[in-house]
Amino acid sequence: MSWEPNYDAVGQLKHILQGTLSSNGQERIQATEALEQAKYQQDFKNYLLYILVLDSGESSAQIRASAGLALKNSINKDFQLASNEFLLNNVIKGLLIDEALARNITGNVITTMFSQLGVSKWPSILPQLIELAEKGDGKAQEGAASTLAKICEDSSHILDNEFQGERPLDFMVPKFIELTGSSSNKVRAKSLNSLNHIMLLKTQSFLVHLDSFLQRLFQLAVDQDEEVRKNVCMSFTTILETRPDKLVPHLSDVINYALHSIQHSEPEVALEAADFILALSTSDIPENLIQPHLHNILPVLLQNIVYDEMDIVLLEAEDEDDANQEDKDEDIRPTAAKIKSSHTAKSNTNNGQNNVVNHEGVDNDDDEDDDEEEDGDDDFVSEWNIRRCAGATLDVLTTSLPKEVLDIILPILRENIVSEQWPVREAAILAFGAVAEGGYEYASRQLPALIPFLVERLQDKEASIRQITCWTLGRYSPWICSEAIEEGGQFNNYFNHTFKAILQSCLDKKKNVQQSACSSIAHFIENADPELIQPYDKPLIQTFERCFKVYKRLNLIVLYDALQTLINKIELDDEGTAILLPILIAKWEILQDEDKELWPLLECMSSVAASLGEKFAPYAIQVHQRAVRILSNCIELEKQTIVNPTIITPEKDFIITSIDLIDGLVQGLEEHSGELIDENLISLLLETFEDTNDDVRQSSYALLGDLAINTPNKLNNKLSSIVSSIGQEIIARSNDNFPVVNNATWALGEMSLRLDLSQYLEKLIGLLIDLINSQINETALENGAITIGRIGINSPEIFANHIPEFALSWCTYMMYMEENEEKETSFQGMCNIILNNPVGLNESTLPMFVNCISMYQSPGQKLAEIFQKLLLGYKQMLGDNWGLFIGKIENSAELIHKYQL
Amino acid sequence: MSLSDDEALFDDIYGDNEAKIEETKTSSEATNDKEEVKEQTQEASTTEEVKKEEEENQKSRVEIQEDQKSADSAAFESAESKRKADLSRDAGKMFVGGLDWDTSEEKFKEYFSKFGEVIDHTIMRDSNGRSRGFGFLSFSEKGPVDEVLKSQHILDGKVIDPKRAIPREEQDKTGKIFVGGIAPEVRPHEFEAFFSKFGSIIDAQLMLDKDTGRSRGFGFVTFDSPEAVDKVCVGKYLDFNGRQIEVKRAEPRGPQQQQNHIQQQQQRIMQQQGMMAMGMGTQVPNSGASGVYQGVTPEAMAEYWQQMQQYWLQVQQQQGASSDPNMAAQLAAYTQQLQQFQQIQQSGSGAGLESTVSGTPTEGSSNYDNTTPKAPANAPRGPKSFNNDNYRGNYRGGYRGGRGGRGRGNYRGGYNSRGGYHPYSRGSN
Repeated sequence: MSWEPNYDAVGQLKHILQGTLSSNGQERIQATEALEQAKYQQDFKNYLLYILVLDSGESSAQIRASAGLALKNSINKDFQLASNEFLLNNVIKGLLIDEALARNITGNVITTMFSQLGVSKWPSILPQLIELAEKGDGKAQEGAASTLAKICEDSSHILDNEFQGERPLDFMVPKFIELTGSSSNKVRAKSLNSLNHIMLLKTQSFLVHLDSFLQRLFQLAVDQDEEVRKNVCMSFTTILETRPDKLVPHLSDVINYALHSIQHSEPEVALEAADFILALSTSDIPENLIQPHLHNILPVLLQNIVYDEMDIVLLEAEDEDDANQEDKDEDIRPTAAKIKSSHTAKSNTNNGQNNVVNHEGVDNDDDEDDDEEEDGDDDFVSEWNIRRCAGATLDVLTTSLPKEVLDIILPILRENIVSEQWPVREAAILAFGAVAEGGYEYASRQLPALIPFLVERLQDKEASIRQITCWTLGRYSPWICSEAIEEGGQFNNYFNHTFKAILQSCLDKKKNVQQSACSSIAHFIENADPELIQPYDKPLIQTFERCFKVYKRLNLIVLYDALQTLINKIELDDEGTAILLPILIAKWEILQDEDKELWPLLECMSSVAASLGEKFAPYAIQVHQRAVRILSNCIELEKQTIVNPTIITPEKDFIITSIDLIDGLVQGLEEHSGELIDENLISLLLETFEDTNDDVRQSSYALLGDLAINTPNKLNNKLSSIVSSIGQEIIARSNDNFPVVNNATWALGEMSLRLDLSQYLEKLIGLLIDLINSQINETALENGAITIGRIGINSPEIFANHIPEFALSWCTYMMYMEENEEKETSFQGMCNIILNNPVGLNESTLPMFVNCISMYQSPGQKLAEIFQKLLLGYKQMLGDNWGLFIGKIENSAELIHKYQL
Repeated sequence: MSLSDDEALFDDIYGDNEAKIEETKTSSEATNDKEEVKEQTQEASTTEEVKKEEEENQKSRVEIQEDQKSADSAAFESAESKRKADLSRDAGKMFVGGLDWDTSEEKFKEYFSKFGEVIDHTIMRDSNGRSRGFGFLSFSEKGPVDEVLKSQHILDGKVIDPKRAIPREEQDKTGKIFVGGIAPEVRPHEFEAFFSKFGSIIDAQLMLDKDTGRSRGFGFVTFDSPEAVDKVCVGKYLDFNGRQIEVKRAEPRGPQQQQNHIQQQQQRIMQQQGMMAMGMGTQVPNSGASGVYQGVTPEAMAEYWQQMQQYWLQVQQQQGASSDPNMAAQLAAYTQQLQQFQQIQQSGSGAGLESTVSGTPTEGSSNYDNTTPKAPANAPRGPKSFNNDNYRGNYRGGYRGGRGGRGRGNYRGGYNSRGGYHPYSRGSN
């Protein structure tokens, strides 16, 4: 008995769906609510499908579409899906519908269903789709092929799993290859696309067909259809990633094909081809295989760095002076904080399946799927173009083949840089900047002439030239700065001229030049020695002051960052402080708690507070209060949203930046910050340790550490929870979130020096030992070793019996560490631990440890004493073997002398 | 054409890889099926290059199959048992390190075939089929091994490092390995069970703390064949239940007599009553050492000393040969120097030790006197009593520039993500 709908219900539902599309807001809201209610009806999905696919009554395309959308959204988390025969058997009929929109949406629905059910619960769909793609009529073929491509994109891993002794891909791959010979353009394109997704799996099912695939690929390379050729380029790129060896025999041909496509094909194909060349330069293919092709590749790159006609027209049409125009919302991209998620106007997707989501949309063309979604890289994808690709490729190639690249391009650039046409000049300047890093050695010969020339270009009447020149000069800042401090260097004064010129450009009448100049200045500051920058503190502060008055929202972000860089580099004197603080405080007061501009401001103020220390005290209280208020508010909302998901939580950046600000205050005020810190803050901090966002926890552990250093007593009541959270963090470490575990471990170390953690440390033993024996980032490992050592100062017995488990790693990371307070305390503790169990060290770790001692040039008094004690103890223990032993130690003579052994 | 050389370059990474992936994944039957399919699809292609590659591949595929089986651990053991039976094979066995990643089994064999008949060869690979840079091979007899060791070798542009693999004659010692870094919770039966995977165990000894009964973190295992040892010791570390443990061959140190001599000496010392004397007194110059280990009873010290000695001896016995190729010579040199020092000592110029110190690494200047009992002055095991000067550092402040790496929340990498201008960044940097 197959399911039949109640026709009244169908009518009702259609009516509701119609309502959701209404232009009348009120109607829409009501309809949406009704739809929400309808969800709880039985067979809701069946009705939707019916409307989408089977309804022989009149249904507008829109209604079908919204039915489809609702259906797709309701499939997630439906655990009864597998038993819904009606749905499983009928959904494919949607691909037979005439309207493209309905077919598209059906495809999405099928894909979503498949990702949930997999082959095991829906074995019929794949063969059905393939058959339809092979034999259906034109539109149905296309629909099926598109759907298959989507499935391959989203669920390829499912296809690679065995089902009843076979892998679906074993059957599908050859079919796809066949389908690339279809007479339908779309089918060819989509089938190739499917294969590209499958290729990424590196599965055996594909690899066995690799050679026939390659053959077919070469045929498709000259296909008349643009979409096909676009996918061909993608294929080459994917092969490069998965099986470069297969490409090597054909490398010349493929490169030539790509270059040809860049120069002569449609824009989308050209871009894919350019991406191939970029992928080539970053791939494993040895440089010596690429080098022979440079003389073909480089000119193409250089040509394509030039702005295209469209851009030129737009740029030339811009006002010469837009410094007074406010920034539009679309221009402000995600800002300061490290969060990568996008909040711009263009983004209207909410999780869901990242790529499928972009497929729906009422603005689809009739015959075209939305293939624009690419790699889910949020909205920056729309900015990626051939110019950027070419620039990036030039950059990368120069790093691997600097001399060869420069030999070829320098003559070209020297000519182009003085061209009459500004786009050509601009591209040449960009190219010079692009090769700055990789070609540092070779390019420096050009610099004595190039730099002054570029400084002059800062006066060019074309804004784009001024903009790119600022950037390129910034790229050469390492050279310029190092020349400046060289004794008797010929180019000492380059710094002065350049720096001043760029500083002036910060106040250019064009906003994009301002932006470029300001970030270039930040680069210079970052690359320069403090002594080099210090003399410029006044001009810098004065310029920044003026910038603060002039800059619009987007450039303010860069400005805050430049300011922060400056403050971290040099000392601000009272005069500078007197200029700066009022500006920042003024901004602070204008902005609301919910304003995103707060983020870079708070970060900047964090540096200011840390750097000014007591001088910041007058503002400390109000700043602190507000930071705590923001923090508290955010945390509160986060809690509420668990219970009531309709509450919108503010971005994590608010939490991060407010914590950073408090941290800056603590660093600046040191022990005086104790007056600001209260239990409430500590509680809030504890909450943030549980935040799922890595960046939040990174900042909160940083604050924890600084609290431990400056106001340890404030932590006393919560030690158990704190240590517990740190333990969690160490367990949950990964290569992505190592900064968090790094900070947590560091904070633990600082705590152990000043607080009595003995009751809580038991559980951490194994964790810390595992940590430093693991393969995580080196800094995190070093901090782990330091912390284990430091714990030994007050609680050596904790680790004493475990020495054999970590001594090797510990010594490895501590041996070459620079000598500072961290090394000192860690060694003191470690010696303590060893003294508690001297046989913990064995015949390999004992020499290692003693080598560490030997290499320790200037231990403090206490440390030296304990070294001596330890060494003498071993000397006695080893007795006759001491001589043998000590002989193997580096510089043993010195050691013996130093500690009078 | 240079391209086909380049082909070969990658062939070894990927070409052989294909075969290997196949074989490790499936049983040998399925492997054969896949081989067929592969061959069929290969036959379908018509280009010259592919044909050529196919020929090369087919050749190496046969060899690879063999080699692959030996890399597969199940098959390893059966191969091993075959080889165990034939003693003479081991005389010609070599270990070769420093191989280029791309060196294939056939190149490897080809190269060494110049010196003699190669009856067995393997390149060790990881689970992705990538070479780990070393391998084994066996000549049919001993002679070629000597030849190989006479000169330097370069293969695929790398200076490779062949060594004689442990000959069978020393079987009773070479079946032994030292294991370190073992977790404290590990029990002896687990220890033994873990290592029995590699071969039949004659003896497995996990050193236990006699007070707590827990593992002291190290132990020894004696296998009944050198192959098992080879298997265990392919790397320096092994994964034991998620923990890295250190494994090392345990080999004798130079002449056995040297050790026996030292051993006897020390036993003599232990028996002497003079052990009670804590006095380091005249032998030790003002180092403040005499105050170090006070407050400890003589009996405790004696016991500790005994245990420490035993440990140290054992450790010396088991020490791997690879780090000290000329141990015997070094030991001899040491002993000589020590004797010199003793003489100086006895003639009373204790302070002048430094002047006799030369720059060689083998020097040791200790106030060694083997006639006077050596009082260890060491506390017995156990935390607190060893060091009375309980270092409860009231350490505060003096914070000098942190590493922390804590980076105050900012991981500032470039200006792209901070709204700065960049002409070709990919956006979210």
